[in-house]
Amino acid sequence: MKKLLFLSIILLPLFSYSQDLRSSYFMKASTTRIDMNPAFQPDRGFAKIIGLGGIGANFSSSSLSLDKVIYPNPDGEGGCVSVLDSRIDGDEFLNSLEDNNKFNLSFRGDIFGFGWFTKKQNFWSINLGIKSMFNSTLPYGFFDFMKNGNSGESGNGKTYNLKKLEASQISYADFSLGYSKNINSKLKLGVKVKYLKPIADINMKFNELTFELRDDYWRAQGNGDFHAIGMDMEADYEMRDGKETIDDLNFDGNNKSIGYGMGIDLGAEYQINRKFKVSFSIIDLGKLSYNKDNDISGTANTNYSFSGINLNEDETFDFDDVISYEKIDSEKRTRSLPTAINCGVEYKVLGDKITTGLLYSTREYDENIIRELTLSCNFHPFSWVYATASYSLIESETSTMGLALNFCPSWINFFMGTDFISFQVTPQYVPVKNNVANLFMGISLPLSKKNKKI
Amino acid sequence: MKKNYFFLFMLFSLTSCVDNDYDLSDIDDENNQIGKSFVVPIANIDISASELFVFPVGSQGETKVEIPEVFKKKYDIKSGLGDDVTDWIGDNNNGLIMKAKITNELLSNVSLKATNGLLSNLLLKINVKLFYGNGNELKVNGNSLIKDMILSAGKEDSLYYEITSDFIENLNRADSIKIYFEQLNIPKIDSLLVDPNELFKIKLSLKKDGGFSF
Repeated sequence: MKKLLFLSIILLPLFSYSQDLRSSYFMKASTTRIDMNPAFQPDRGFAKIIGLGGIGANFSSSSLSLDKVIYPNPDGEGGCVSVLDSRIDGDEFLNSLEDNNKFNLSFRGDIFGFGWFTKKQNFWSINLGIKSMFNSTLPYGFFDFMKNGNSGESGNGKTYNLKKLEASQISYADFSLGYSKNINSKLKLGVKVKYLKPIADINMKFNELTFELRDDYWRAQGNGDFHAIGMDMEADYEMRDGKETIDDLNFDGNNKSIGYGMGIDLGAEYQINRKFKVSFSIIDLGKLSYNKDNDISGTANTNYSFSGINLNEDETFDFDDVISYEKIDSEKRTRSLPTAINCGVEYKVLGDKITTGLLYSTREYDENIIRELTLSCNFHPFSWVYATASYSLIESETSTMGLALNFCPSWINFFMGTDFISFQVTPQYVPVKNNVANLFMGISLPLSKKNKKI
Repeated sequence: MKKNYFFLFMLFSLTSCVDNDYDLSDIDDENNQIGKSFVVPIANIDISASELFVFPVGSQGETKVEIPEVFKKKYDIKSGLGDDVTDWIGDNNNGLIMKAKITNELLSNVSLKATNGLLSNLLLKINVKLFYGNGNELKVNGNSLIKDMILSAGKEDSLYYEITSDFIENLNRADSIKIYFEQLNIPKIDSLLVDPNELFKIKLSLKKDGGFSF
């Protein structure tokens, strides 16, 4: 049960920035831009280095950046301290929070991948990768409790409203087969078919949750749902007050199959004239479908009050009395993939040496849609160097700058990039003042000479 | 060579803004704590009038009460709270205060007031002791809460007592934590009307200044 609560605090909700590197959308040598538009063709075939072919990580927060959580040592002795340090008053931290604070952490990693051209210069690719997304929504009251405790100014505790507390995690393996065909000298069409194997899907959400933490009593009231399914996940149940409740999750299962999924990417690229090129794609149309038999579901309706154990009756305190999930009938669940749409326009400023591009992208995930507009300048000063600088507007609220580099001498293709350049980073290269960050890199081996027709 | 200079410049631009004040490998977490202060209810003990006083057999209508001996009783807190809770308390031994809020519901009903004016004081001693599994006491510096209670109707009072660090440090070594209630004096009561079911309530809570470390 404690593990369930731990998961509820740490795991994810339903909000995610793109898992792709937008700055590389117009970077021709990139082996991963075909993930954003299956019509794209790299300038040569490739074999991704196993485990290193494409690795990316995203972090985003709707409110917090590192400098709100980590502070220079107030004693001036070097190093730093966290906001939970007793010497930090926490006002700056709490004032920067919203009513509901969303956090997202996502990873993607390619295990292997190949791309090759056929004789007619059509392009095929296969790829096996892992994608994982962690999201959480943490209400203001959660942080207020962590920083200030329950001693209110009134001298009789505080009440915390944790409505909308939510956490979820999704992980799945993605095996794809892509094909980009030159319809004519101007038009390319592409399709990528994906077979998905879910690894885990955990979701915990409270519709209502109030903690009244008074001096004389602590009371929890609320209701929420819990759903979990995982390849090696099993639930332990126990009877509480005549009801079967979820006691704990263990991860000692037999790596059983928990479902499957299918997805498809569609894309097109059209050369309007010698200078202009437009492109369009829909990514991740599809669903994950889970087996009913492996589903672990519970519902919590808590109304628990604790005013101290009653020693007269040998009463004991049991944490599970506060919140416990009553088992409910399993159901066959599905989850839509976070579908993205990309629309791009590219203009050649100085031949192939300098181009500029404008990318409008949206990604839908459950009820959230994230819109991003990215302006990029793409440089190709030497035959084996590509560089892109980008400027993005996210939901008209956040503007960021990005940078991507691609080195592709005849024997290797290496790229690295971010959509969120930070002008102040920690020695570990973690952005200090950004509340969004991502980093992508990949290494692959070229399989052929440059395709001059691209 | 110009190509190499270009790359070096690009890479340098990524490293030129490192702020060593935010070195995540050098985080001082010694002063980390959850919250600035907490008050946590811990335990309730009800002592009924029938435990404090003797009610003579055969009384009719009005009951005459006698106090033949002092009241003594002990309760084990640790078994009720569980190891997780006491471990946590044991790890947070600075600024920990036990608050004993004592509500006297005896005589709360006006009709049961003493027939001979105000009552004298009742001196109550609350003592917390630690024990090993074999029953031997684990001796630490004193933790006695001595409260001078006045037996008047519906009176409520509270007392804060700082638990010694010696006690807290020994908390996890003990197999049981017993709380003793001992009545230190015999109030002078000429005549008293008491409902045996009336309660003398003691509510224990912990007040923690400085938050909980983790």
